[in-house]
Amino acid sequence: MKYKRIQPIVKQQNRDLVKVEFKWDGEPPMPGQFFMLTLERLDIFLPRPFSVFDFQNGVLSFLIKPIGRFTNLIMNTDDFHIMGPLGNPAPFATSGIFVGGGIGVAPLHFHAKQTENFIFIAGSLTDDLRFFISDLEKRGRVIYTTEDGSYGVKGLATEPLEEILKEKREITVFACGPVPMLEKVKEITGGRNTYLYMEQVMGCGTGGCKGCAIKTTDGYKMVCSDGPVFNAVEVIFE
Amino acid sequence: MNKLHINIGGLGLKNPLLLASGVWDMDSPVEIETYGAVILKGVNLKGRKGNPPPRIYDIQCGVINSIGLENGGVDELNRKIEKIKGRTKLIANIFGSTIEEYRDVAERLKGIDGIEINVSCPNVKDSGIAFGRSPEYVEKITAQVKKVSDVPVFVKLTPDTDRLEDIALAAEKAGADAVVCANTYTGMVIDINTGKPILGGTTGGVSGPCIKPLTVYRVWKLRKILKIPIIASGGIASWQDVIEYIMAGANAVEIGSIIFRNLEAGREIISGLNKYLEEKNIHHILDIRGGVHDG
Ligand SMILES: Cc1cc2nc3c(=O)[nH]c(=O)nc-3n(C[C@H](O)[C@H](O)[C@H](O)COP(=O)(O)OP(=O)(O)OC[C@H]3O[C@@H](n4cnc5c(N)ncnc54)[C@H](O)[C@@H]3O)c2cc1C
Ligand SMILES: Cc1cc2nc3c(=O)[nH]c(=O)nc-3n(C[C@H](O)[C@H](O)[C@H](O)COP(=O)(O)O)c2cc1C
Ligand code: FES
Repeated sequence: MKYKRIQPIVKQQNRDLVKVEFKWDGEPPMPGQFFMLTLERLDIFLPRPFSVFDFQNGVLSFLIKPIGRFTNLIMNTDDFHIMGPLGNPAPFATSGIFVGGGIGVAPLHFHAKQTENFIFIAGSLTDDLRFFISDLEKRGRVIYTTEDGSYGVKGLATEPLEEILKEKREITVFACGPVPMLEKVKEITGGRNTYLYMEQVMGCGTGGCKGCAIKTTDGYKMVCSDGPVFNAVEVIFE
Repeated sequence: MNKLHINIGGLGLKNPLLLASGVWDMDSPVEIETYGAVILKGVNLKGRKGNPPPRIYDIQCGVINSIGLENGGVDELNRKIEKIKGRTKLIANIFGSTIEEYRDVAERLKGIDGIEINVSCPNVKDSGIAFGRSPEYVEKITAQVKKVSDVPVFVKLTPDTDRLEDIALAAEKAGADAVVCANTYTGMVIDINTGKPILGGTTGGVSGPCIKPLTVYRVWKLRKILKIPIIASGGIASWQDVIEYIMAGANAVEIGSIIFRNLEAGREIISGLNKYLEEKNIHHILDIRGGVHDG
């Protein structure tokens, strides 16, 4: 774990998504792990968690969807503090199905790249995601879905999952995205071999404040220090 | 002579910068050796599961939290203390839902250098702030804890009261070795799309730079009436803020929320203080204390 003040080397925007890259000479991240990014300006006080989108040749990338105060400022700011890698690595699997909803594809991209055999289902409203994740197409099978069929397969990301599972019952499933999607994934797999990337607002990101609680079958657990990837069986959706 | 070394109620500290309760837990990567002392997360007798999420939220220039004092109870804390003993001075932050619980927790604690009585948490209904708003309860709890403790005892006050002076005087009368001014301010954030509170606990405690002037005022007010030392806590983000609190009358300070965004805030503050004292040719940090009078 390392903490430093740093400026990005690349910032790239494509419609609704922003990619930010930093040179990183700290500990290399593992799939599942995240970093806390802080803006130098005090009026956005808390750091925000972002998963590793990619890490290669000492360059650490994040793929970010601007949705609020912090994320909307990224294109206009160069002074960051960054801290990580944080959280636990995701469970290891040599083959897996990845189900990403919207910006949920970010951590799965890094994870899939380190998985020998994968099927990657990327669900979104438009074809935005492909711009950033098409490198996966060389490494495994990628299925794009959009709700209105404007790009790829029409429907939800969970629909191809149901089809695929009919044949590959034993395969591990990793999912990240909006809560209704995660609930649906858990329903489809019955929680079997299924791991969910969970989100919660964070304070410290390091297990210190007990701020990032989610409900589990074993009481409250912290996304930052017990997760962020949880066995679907233990997650209780509210 | 070390310009930063201080003594509070018999507790010698290498510097007056303390890490506030609730922002660090045993395994999290803060360099606790930097601090004169570290105040551990709030603990009661049998533990507490904490409030429903979301528990923390960014407000402009600060934080609102409703953690709800999640902890595993005093026996678990004792086991954890074993592992970090010796890294710096350790102060326990204790709470309870009865006077007896405060006393029992204090009695069971092992391996600590001080006790901070938390009668000021806004996030639990059955303990904390309800006691902290009553001079009578504060006096009783302090006296009971003092009776069973052989380490210095501090009382952490709530700023949310119009009886702050009476409450602080009650703590002093009962034998407190210092007061901590202060805990967070009760606040609320609402989701304007749903019209519901954002925090799972409905209301929360506000901390961070936005509360600093409010707490500076309270420290300054207490300085005029108390004989015992004051430890300031509220919105410190830089060494300049520490100087401000000491000028207002504090003997030491705690930093909390700032370490969420700057893991090295402690080290930066200490080096800033040293440089300031050097440049101004000030012999000891407390030489500037309480020099602020009515304007
Ligand atoms: C482990 C983890 C990994 C993550 N990885 C990624 C990633 O790789 N990429 C990514 O893009 N995101 C990721 N996230 C999510 C990311 O952290 C959040 O999007 C980010 O924190 C949002 O910050 P913000 O300041 O932009 O939004 P905020 O301003 O904090 O607001 C969040 C949302 O709430 C709304 N809001 C704020 N205040 C109010 C109010 N009073 N009433 C109603 N609505 C309100 C905003 O409009 C916005 O939609 C991750 C989260 C976690 C926990
Ligand atoms: C997430 C969080 C948890 C806290 N938990 C405790 C606690 O357990 N006991 C306590 O006395 N104060 C607790 N506090 C209050 C802090 O110790 C401190 O007094 C307060 O945040 C004001 O200082 P700051 O502005 O530097 O954060 C907590 C504060 C935060 C932000
Ligand atoms: S964010 Fe502080 S414990 Fe997870």
